[in-house]
Amino acid sequence: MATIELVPEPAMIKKVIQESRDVKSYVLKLDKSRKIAARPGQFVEVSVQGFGEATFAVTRTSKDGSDFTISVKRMGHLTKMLHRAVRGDMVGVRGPYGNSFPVDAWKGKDIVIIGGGIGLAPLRPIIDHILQHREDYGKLEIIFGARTPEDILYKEDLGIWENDETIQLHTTIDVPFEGWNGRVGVVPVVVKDLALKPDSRVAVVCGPPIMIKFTVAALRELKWSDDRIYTTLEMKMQCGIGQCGRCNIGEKFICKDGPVFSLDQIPEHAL
Amino acid sequence: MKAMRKKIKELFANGDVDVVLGYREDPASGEVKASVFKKDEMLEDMVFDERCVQNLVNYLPTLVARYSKVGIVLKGCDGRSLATQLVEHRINKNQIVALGVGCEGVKVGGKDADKCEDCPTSMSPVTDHEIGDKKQKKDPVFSKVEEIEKMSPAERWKFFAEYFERCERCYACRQICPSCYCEICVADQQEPKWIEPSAKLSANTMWHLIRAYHLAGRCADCGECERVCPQEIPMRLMNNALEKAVHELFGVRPGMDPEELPPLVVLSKEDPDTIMGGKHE
Amino acid sequence: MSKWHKLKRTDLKDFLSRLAEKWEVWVPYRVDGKWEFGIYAPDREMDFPESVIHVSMKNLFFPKRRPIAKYEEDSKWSMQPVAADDKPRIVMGLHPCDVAGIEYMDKVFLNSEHKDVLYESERKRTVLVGMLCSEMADNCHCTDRGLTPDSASGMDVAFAKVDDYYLFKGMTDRGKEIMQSEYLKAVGDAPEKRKWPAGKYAIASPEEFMDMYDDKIWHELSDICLTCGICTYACPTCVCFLVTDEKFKGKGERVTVWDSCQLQSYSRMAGGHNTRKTPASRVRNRTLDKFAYSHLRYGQISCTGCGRCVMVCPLKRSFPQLGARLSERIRDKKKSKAGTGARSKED
Ligand SMILES: Cc1cc2nc3c(=O)[nH]c(=O)nc-3n(C[C@H](O)[C@H](O)[C@H](O)COP(=O)(O)OP(=O)(O)OC[C@H]3O[C@@H](n4cnc5c(N)ncnc54)[C@H](O)[C@@H]3O)c2cc1C
Ligand code: SF4
Ligand code: SF4
Ligand code: SF4
Ligand code: SF4
Ligand code: FES
Repeated sequence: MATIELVPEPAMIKKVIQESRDVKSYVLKLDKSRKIAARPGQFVEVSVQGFGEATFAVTRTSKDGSDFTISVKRMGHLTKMLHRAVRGDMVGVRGPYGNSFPVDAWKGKDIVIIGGGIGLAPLRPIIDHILQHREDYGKLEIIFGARTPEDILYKEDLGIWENDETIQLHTTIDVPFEGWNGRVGVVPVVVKDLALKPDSRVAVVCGPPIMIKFTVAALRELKWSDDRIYTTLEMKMQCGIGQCGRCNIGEKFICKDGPVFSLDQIPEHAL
Repeated sequence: MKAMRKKIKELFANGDVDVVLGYREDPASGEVKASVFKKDEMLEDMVFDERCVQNLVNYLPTLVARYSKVGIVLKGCDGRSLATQLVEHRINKNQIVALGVGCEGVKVGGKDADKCEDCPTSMSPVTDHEIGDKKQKKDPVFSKVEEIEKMSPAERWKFFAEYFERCERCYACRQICPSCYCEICVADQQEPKWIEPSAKLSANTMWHLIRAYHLAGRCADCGECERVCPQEIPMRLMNNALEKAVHELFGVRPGMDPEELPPLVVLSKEDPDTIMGGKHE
Repeated sequence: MSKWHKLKRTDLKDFLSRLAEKWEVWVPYRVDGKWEFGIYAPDREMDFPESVIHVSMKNLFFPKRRPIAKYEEDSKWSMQPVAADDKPRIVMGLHPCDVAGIEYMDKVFLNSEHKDVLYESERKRTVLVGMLCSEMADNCHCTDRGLTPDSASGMDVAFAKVDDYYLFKGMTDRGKEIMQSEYLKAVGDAPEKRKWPAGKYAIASPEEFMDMYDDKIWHELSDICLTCGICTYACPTCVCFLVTDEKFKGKGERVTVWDSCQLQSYSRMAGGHNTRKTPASRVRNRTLDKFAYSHLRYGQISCTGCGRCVMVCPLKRSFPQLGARLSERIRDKKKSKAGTGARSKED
């Protein structure tokens, strides 16, 4: 019989990384020999047996596609159980699902990546992709905002990006914090301060809803047109394949027609 | 009816109310439904008779958020319901103009409503204006509850399980109940997940027990949960069993006194202590 | 194609008993004054209602609670998919609007990209024996939705009640097998075609509905709605579900369970943010989903005009009437051309 798509296949946790106080990353390898070929922006449904499943962006794929990484912020029922999982534990995986960032269409352009908190997770594959095909793209600018220094993710990557001459990285925290000498201010304000010009650039924004909203407003103020601003939307999900009904913005399903949209593809109330 | 319309016109004219919650007979279908009346609008369709079963108190929180002064037509039982909401500080009395109407009983499906049998008052305990007569009624008898109490535990379980099995978990009962207003209902809670979401006997039983207990000493017996249930599950039996217990223990019937806190949220030295036997020291 | 065949009403039980030897036969029963579908048993009184019944066919193809996998609770991972049921089955007595509902479910569950194989096997094992309506009930408005009460479209076998007999006709190859029963006698005449009155709830076009998103009318339309879930559970085309794990005595099941966009919990995310917090936003979602989103997605609006939502609503709110009222407002707006009005933006 054909497989039931809603039933996940087993995967093993190969590695657990404590990214910040409430975010952990998991490197997963499917039990079967199937490989996960996730394009930047796609997500998977991850299950803990007995506790249901939840949606996570694939935040990195190994070169040969044999394993992939998700980053999980502790929120509720399932994410709490995931945070208890250790190396060697089994979880369930479905996917990858959803559309992806049109990285091929962006060739030759300068790219601005704007991430807030866990919102950096779905954006990291874009950065990885650009770094792997560096000559295909123009300048890369990354703005990453976290609430406090303790909420900063991917410290190792940030170190590498910091030292990469082809990348301009701005890390910022929301409010002053003892011992923090870097930039302070919420992301939308940083965007305004940097006076990012649209020129031949593409901006990708992901983070909490409120951060997306105000960052978009800031970009529009700086005369960015909607077709150059991309975001990945978030809404409650269950099936991930356009059947359970709930993740809709109008007639579009975020899980199936998204999660990646340029602003001209979605109505204003979606933000 | 004339007196009521006159009063309401007066209230509108004086600017005492922005809207009035009442009952309207749809001229096309003849059905009586809850309706929000605005100044000079549809007042001629307003009715009050034995078809006005619905408890309108449930709509007040949404309306007071939108209007500063809301009038409401109240039967005796609805008035009790309003009183429970006032003691729980859910609604600010200053925003409400309570129009008590002497109620002669209502009919559900052509028959006298069950709830009217044990009704302690024909007039709302909270009123700003009273229309019609007030008849104080007898003490409750809870005869149906007593029948259940006579059953053996096994019989009782069989009796209720047959109903619980049928529950669709549509939550009409919760949605119509003025006292079920939690921001996140225990049935929807994800962490911890107290009640499984699927409609099956074990989860449905949990839902019904928790629902009834959360309303103990708060439910004013408006009977709406049972009336709207598409599966005709006798929720009043459970509510009344708890109401009876509260009445026996504390001598209180919820909603009869708009000043009195629900007995299960106050601890008094006078409370009977049935666990330790005696009174609290 | 094939001819109409006569079945004497007195032969109905024998006819069904014979079918039951090979198929699982589902027929309507009346229990406590309410209709429901159950497996045919000769000693139970059954009958075919003239028109829709309050429960929809949805449950027979996409059950309210549907296990999709099983596992042992004390293991880290032992999840195994359930086996699909493939016993041949006849569902007898559904009406044209039921068939339209099933066709809509097909669009959701059987698209080439993501196919629900459990649903597919329920469909494959079932022969649809539909009954042509002889009357339109109070809440029926299928004629407003482009359906015809006595159309056999989509059925494998169609039948109609006439005087003291039934007329049957095989419509598809699968249906023909049923037609081979010795109790059916070929006759020439087809049941009389009726001219049906238009319903009372004509509605605007999907595109016009889409323009109503920001209108302030949603508050008015949701004024007394309880936002309970029963109208969507009863609706033959509402297929929203949630996925969850349930345990009992060491055995676990992953299940899909019907859910409803009318309930607060439907869109509430971890952390409490809810994209459809107000009743108005939920009523809007259901209305637009039925009359516009569905059409934009699948080329078919998802209201079949069966009227079940009105039958089951505790407040007897008429959803069709609501759609009609909205359509009226659309026309008014067009007429006044101003097209603005106060905008509400509440979610
Ligand atoms: C496209 C997409 C990508 C995401 N990527 C990430 C990521 O990379 N890292 C990360 O930490 N989080 C991500 N999220 C959010 C993450 O899905 C939720 O935090 C998670 O579902 C919460 O589950 P829970 O069981 O702990 O919470 P509960 O409140 O217990 O939720 C119960 C169930 O509701 C659903 N649900 C609740 N909140 C959400 C939500 N915000 N989005 C989708 N479904 C939800 C899930 O199925 C969940 O299991 C993403 C969400 C979407 C839509
Ligand atoms: S109204 Fe009835 S069927 Fe619906 S959840 Fe309540 S008890 Fe269950
Ligand atoms: S229309 Fe009726 S059945 Fe539907 S949600 Fe509102 S009150 Fe419930
Ligand atoms: S109307 Fe609501 S419950 Fe029905 S299918 Fe659409 S979104 Fe789902
Ligand atoms: S919305 Fe109402 S009338 Fe339309 S298909 Fe659903 S239940 Fe039937
Ligand atoms: S998550 Fe089920 S439709 Fe999108």
